[in-house]
This record gives sequence, C-alpha cells and structure tokens, in this order.
Amino acid sequence: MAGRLSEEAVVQSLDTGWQSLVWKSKYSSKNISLSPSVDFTAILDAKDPAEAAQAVPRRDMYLALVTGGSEVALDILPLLSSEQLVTIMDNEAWHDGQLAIHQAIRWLDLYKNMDPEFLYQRFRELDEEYQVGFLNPYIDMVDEESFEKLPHDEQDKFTAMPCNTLWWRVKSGDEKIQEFVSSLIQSSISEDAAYIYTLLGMAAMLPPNEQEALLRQFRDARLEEDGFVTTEESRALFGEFDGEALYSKWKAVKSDCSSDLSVTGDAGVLFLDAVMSVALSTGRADQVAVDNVMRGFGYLANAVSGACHVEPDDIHGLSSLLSQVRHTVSFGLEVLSSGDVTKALEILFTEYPKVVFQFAISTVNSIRAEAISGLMALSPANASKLESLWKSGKFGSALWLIDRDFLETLGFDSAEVLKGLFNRFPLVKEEVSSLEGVERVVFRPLATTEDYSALLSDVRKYLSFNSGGTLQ
Amino acid sequence: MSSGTSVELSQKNQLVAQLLERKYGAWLGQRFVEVESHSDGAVLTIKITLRNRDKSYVYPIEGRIMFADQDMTADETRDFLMDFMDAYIQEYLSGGEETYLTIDWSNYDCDGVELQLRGQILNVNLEDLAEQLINGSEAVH
Repeated sequence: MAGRLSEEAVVQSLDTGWQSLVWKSKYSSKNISLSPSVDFTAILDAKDPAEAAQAVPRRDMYLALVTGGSEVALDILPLLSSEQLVTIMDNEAWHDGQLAIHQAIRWLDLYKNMDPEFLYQRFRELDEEYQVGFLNPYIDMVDEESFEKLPHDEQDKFTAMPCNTLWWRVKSGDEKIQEFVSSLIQSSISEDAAYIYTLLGMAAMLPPNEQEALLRQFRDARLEEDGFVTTEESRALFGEFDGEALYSKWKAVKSDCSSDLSVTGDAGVLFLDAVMSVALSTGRADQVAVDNVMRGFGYLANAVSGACHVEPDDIHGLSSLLSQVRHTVSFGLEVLSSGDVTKALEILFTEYPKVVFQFAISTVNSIRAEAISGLMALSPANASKLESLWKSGKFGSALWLIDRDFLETLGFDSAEVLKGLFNRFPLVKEEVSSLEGVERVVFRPLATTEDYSALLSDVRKYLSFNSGGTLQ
Repeated sequence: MSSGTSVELSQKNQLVAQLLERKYGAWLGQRFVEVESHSDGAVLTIKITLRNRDKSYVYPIEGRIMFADQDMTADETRDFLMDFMDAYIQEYLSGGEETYLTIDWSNYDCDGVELQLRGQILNVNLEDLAEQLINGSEAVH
C-alpha cells in the first residue's frame, strides 16, 4: 500500500503507543483533566473581568477555551492578554512544524466578527514575527513604475494603498486567505496607516520562511515552558534510566509507622488517586499542592507528546497520553513505596512525575529483556532486531516486526501479548473479542504490581520459558 | 478498467481493513472495519464500513471517483481515493466522532482531483427489531 496506508504510516501510528492497540482503563477518569478548570462565570462576574481572565495561566486558559467551545470563547476572547493570545497561536496556528494560517484565521475571525477594529488590535499584539510570518507568503507589493508595466488584467488584481504610489495583492486563490488579509489591511489602514505600510513592506520584502523559522524557535521555547520538550528529549523519557538507584533510595527511607494511613482499596481507583485523596482528607496537602501535582501530570503528558506524535493542540491525543502516563506513574509509585501510603505521599510530593514514570518504564524493561532472551531461542536474528528496535526507542517498528516476523511462529495470542509488552506504554492483555472469525485483543494499561505480574506470567506462558525477570 | 481479479481485489480490501484496524485500533475499540470496492469501468466506488458486533453502530463510508477525469492509473486512482477516505476516517475518529459526512453524495476537491463521499451512521440492530415488530404486528392483524 502507498500513502496514508503505507508501512511507514502504520508504523508511525503504532509508534504513538496510544492510537493503535485497543486499550481501555479499568479506573475512573473523573476529575482528570489536562489542567485545572477555569471558572468563566466567575471571570465574567468579576469586578475587573479582564484582570481576572489575565490572571489565569496561559495554557490553562487556552485549554479551557478549546474545551469550552466558541460560545464561551466569544465572551472571554476580548479579555485575554496578548501573552494568552500568543499561546493560542502557538498551539493552534501550526501543523507539523509549519505555520498553518487557516487555523490562525479561525481564531482571528472571531475577533473580526465582533468588530473589525478588534482584528487590527489583536493582530498587532501578536509577536512581530507572527504578524510578518502570516502575511509573508501571501503579500505581493509593487511600486508605481512596476504597476504601470503590468497588463491591465494583472493590474486589476492589485489594490492601491492610500498614497496611490504602492499597490498590493494577495498571492493566493484561497478565498478565506484573501478575505482575511483584505479585512486586516482595511481595518489597519483606518486605524494606523503607518503600521500597515511597515507591515506590508516587511511581509513583501523579507525572504520567504525567514520569519517563520525565527518564530518557530520562539514558539518552541514558549511551549517548552508548558512541558513540550524536543522530540529527542521526549523519546529519552522512554529510554535508559537507572531505576535501581531510585528504588534503593526510597527503600532506605523509613516509613512513618506512627501514622496509620491507608487507601480504601477501591478497585476502580488508581493507587495514585487514592494516595492524593488521602493527602487531602488527612490534611497532609492542601488543594493548591494537589493541583500542582496534577499539573505535573499534565506537563508529563505534554513532555511525552513529541515521542507519541501528538501536536500541542490535539486535546483528545493529549488526554489519552495523560491517561497513559497516570497509569504508568501509579505503577511506579506503588513499586517505589511498596504500597505504603505515607511513603507514596512523600514520593509524590518530592519526585517529579517524569522520574517516577521513567522508573516504571525501566521496571518493565526487565520483562522485555526476558522476552528477548526467550525469543532468541526461536529466531535469533529477529529477536536481535526486536531488541535493537526496542532499545533505540523505535516502538512502532518493533510492533510491526512482531506482526510480520513472529505472528506465524508464535500464534495470535502470544504475538499480541508481545505487542502489549513492547508497546511504548506497556499494556496487559485484558480480553479477546471477535467478530465473524476476526479476533482482537483488548489491553489495559499497566497500572499496578498485579498488572506487572500478569504481564510477566503471560509472557512466560505464551512464550513457554521461565527465567529471571522477577519484580523487586 | 480493472485493477486486478476479484480475488486480488478482495485480498487488497482485506489488507486495507487490517491496516485501518491497526492504525486506529484504540479509537475503534470493539468496532471492526470492512472494505468493499467495485468498478464499472467508468467509476470506482469504495465502501469502508465501521461496525460493532451487534450492528447497533454501522457506519458505511462511501467514496467514488471517475476514472475518465483522472490522469492516473487504476491503482493510483484507488490509492488516491483510499487516502482521502482514510484522512476523513482519521478526522472523524480523532475528533471525538463529530465530523459527519452528508447522507447524499457531496463533492470534494483534493489537489485538483474531484471525488465524492457520503455516509450515514445506522443502527441496523434497531432497524431489524423494528422490522420484526412491524412484520409481527402485520401477522397478528
């Protein structure tokens, strides 16, 4: 197959770790969001609504607007600070690392529909690189001499500036772009003609993509503040990690035996959430501290997004990542604390979520290593390839290889267990569903020490070997 | 114009169904993909159906393209239409399943190539039950 259904495209999908294999969580997802909720009613009812809106952290406001929908956005958008507006552009106006003007227009049109003057005002508040970068590919300007040399039908495509010595046109047949640029220029001319002369001059004269390249650097730096690290750093979160050192560190910490804290043992609640509830109910932490820890999970989801092929504006994708990282961290927390709630609380408020996450992944690596050694007996060449792909963080290619080279030898069930094991986020086989002879394994994210044991047991059962790989 | 024997075509369709299930497994959940295609020489039609076990959710997504309008081989035309339909499926699944097609054919233009799509989510299970109910009541009267 070619194009979107090529091997490369499917491998990329497998590489995300959350999009391809069927998985569902056993745990409640209520109260789980990428950021603390924003009370729009309180903002609008505030004495100074603009001040109240601008006090909300940039990304929290962006996520709240996106999830709230355009009805909410219309009331709040006029109140935003320029930094909050730039955050919207940083998240929405890009696709695959390139400026995506249609996405920007979607937001800026909301201002235009309120009042054309708003469009000029808010556009001007964007970084200069955004202003020029948006127009740069689409603006053509000529002086009087060049204009006179043009054929009449070409001249008709140009519009005169107020001075009648310069003419501009939009270099795009796209009606939305034409309408947007024209509206922007018209509203700007009536507000500040000098500004639009400078802007159009820069947009027409600067080399193509120069501003976009510069802007990309600024945008990446801003996104990094919200946890969106580079793809390399993101991939590193799934790589080598000295789990032994962290485990030993926390094993040596004596638990406060005087306290009698315990989680309720509700099977529908993640250990992580149970520990947070205990923190709140016993007064060990206040809501602000708990919110900060929760925000840390949002940052972690953002941090893994680069490796998982999720864009900063993909709220559904980021929510799936948040779910995955919370399960993984919950497992890591349970192992590090040996299920001791007091110790778990200390870990949670001491270690960064990413450290516990990396520890959890490194713990599962012992099962992966055991599986590889078992597969060596079956097919040394393919087992070596699988090991190499796993260790170099090419999880999508690893899953593809399992389907292609191990399915026939191992059979459906074993191959699926292996795929869950070598998935970017480790998954445990939950059930098999079938429709007219077509079978599909439904997985659950690895979230507890019981899940770890089940995965280890499945690997040994299906691969028919038994050596090493025990959980500490 | 043909892009292979009916057996080859059936195998290709099965492969596409497998690839789509692999690509979008997490979003599909317990739903499965079926792919059918046929060509009458002038028009290529592809139907990709997403459905669950009890048929309470059946979403046939149909696409068609005129061979004569394209400067492409039969296989290229098929891949082109499949790519476009896949792009829609990704948008539909990744966007919370809120992007719908029209019930009747709608025209699309992709890189200067014209094609048509249509689709409607059905609850075949409920329709079957309703039919049984109607037939049953007719039998009583």
